Amino acid sequence: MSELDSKKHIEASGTRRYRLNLALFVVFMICLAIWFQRHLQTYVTEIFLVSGTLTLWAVWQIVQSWLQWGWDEEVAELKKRLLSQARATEYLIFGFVLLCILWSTTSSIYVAYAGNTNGPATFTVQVLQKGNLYLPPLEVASYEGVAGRPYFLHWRSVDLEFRITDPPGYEARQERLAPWTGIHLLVPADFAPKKFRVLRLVPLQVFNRLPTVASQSPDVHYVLQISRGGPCGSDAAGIEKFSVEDLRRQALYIGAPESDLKWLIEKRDDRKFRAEFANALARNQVPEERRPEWIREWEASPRLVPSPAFREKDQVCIQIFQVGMRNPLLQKQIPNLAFEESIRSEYMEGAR
Amino acid sequence: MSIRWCAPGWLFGVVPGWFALLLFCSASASGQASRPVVVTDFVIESPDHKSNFTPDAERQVELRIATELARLCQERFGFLKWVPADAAAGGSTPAAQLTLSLKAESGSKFPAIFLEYTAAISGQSHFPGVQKEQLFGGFDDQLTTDHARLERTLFEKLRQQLANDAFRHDLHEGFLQDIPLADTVKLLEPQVIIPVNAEELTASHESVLLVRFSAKLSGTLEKGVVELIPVSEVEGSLSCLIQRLLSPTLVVNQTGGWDPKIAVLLQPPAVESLNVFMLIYKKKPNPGTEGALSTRPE
Repeated sequence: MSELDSKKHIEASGTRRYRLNLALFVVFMICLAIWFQRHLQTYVTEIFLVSGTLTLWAVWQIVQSWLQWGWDEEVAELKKRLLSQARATEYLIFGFVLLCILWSTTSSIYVAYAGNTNGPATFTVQVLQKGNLYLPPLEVASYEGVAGRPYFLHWRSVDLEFRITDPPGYEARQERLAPWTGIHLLVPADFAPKKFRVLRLVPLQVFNRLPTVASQSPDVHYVLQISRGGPCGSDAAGIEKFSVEDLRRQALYIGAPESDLKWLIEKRDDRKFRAEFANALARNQVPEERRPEWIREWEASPRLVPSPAFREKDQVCIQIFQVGMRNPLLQKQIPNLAFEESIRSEYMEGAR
Repeated sequence: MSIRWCAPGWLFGVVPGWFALLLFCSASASGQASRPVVVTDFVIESPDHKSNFTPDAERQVELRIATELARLCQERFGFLKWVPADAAAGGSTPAAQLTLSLKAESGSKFPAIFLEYTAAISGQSHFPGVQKEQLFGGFDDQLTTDHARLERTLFEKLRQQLANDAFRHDLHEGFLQDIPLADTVKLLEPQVIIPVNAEELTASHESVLLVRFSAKLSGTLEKGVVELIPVSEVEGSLSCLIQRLLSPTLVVNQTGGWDPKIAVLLQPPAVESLNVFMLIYKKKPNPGTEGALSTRPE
């Protein structure tokens, strides 16, 4: 082989290595960018700026090397010197190994704000593992769009529950955080709204029978008994029974966790609610001038009863007993809990 | 019925009055009676109230209210001995009973609560003289479970009622003036002695007692009334002068007046029945106080 051939061979070999390294570099940068995008989204803008620029530069170089088209010789020589060396290939392969380890052991949790202008401006999301907080509550807002963090060298899969705690009203989500995955949720779009079946009980008929909320130690106590799954008085198997002790002269909200009940009360249309209550009082001949006072009395400190959590089509029986008495003082049978509104009022206003 | 024959008639003509009085006193000292007992009671009938008491607590409240009613009545109507029901239990048969009930209006989903008096004299039902009074409206907080406040409210209501002239007037006129204080009188011309402890009766000179009698004269039943004015005590009994006597055969219209026929009409064997009542009661002032406490407005 002549010296010229040998020189050409070396040049061709250098060009191939250069192209190989350049291709490896491009793939490496793309993988790096994807990894960053998946797990380090908080910094995604900066990463895209850095890795995206480098990737574009590398692609440009490949095109240049094929088309033999470029800027001046010195810069081209520098690039070739860096990428046509065997050591560069070694570095790139080492980088790939590191990237593979990172890919397979990195996971991340991110929640992103996706609210609209009519909805709440801030959402708080709790991530729980077996009921315990897995990481501090995540808060996203219209001005702080993403919250979360990556987990490096994360070897095990973890079952997590994602719960929007503020505002309430959304179903919790169950997700599995695997070592190579990221959980990215849009708030609140990725959470189904809860369907509530809350009963608001106002036992109007026994207004003057029940102790007031302020009453310190009444001689006689009353208890509310809720049966689900059968008619009043039935003791058939499958009927669940719940008791609310020490019943007072206050409205009872039954059928959802306490935080949800509070939220539902806060968000209800107060004018509509008062009008409905006033109508019930009017039906019971409560004089118009006394109605605001009665509404205040019943609603001043409503009692929130989380269980049972009612479901659609539940057959429910509500009975009020004086403690120690066998017969109920008052009872109401609801054959089917099917209603559209979040809170349904039952005034228990039958004739005496 | 018996009229005690205190002193022979011939003595009145010949023995000075003070001596006759002395004889009378010595004869009658053991015949002086206490004033009649009126038992007060309080009953919770309103179902919403009653069901919120344990039986013991209910009886305790009832007793305290009955005691307060007796105390207030004693202040205002001292000519009767007022005793709360539990204290009277086992004692002598009371002359009368005044029962206060906490009642719910019937036929209403949100019943109003009333205080209603019922009365009895000698075990027979009697109009109490006062109408029932609303304590709580149907839409009020009726304090069914706040027993301390309910008790305070009842105490206050009782005080208001007994401090009210019209209420006392009605109670006296409708009920109390029909309770017999005595069923005999003793005669000591021109005085009529009511054999009841005068100190207990505390009746001032402005009080008026009424004697209703029926007597059989010559086979004809004669009914009449005598109005008496307290004047003094005679050996602890109340001594009165006749203010007016009206009967078909005898009329006396002069205070301190007398007619020999009075002794016939009011004493055996002619008298068939006789009862003394407190027609108008004005309490004798206590030492150190001025004027009489009027229980009957003029």
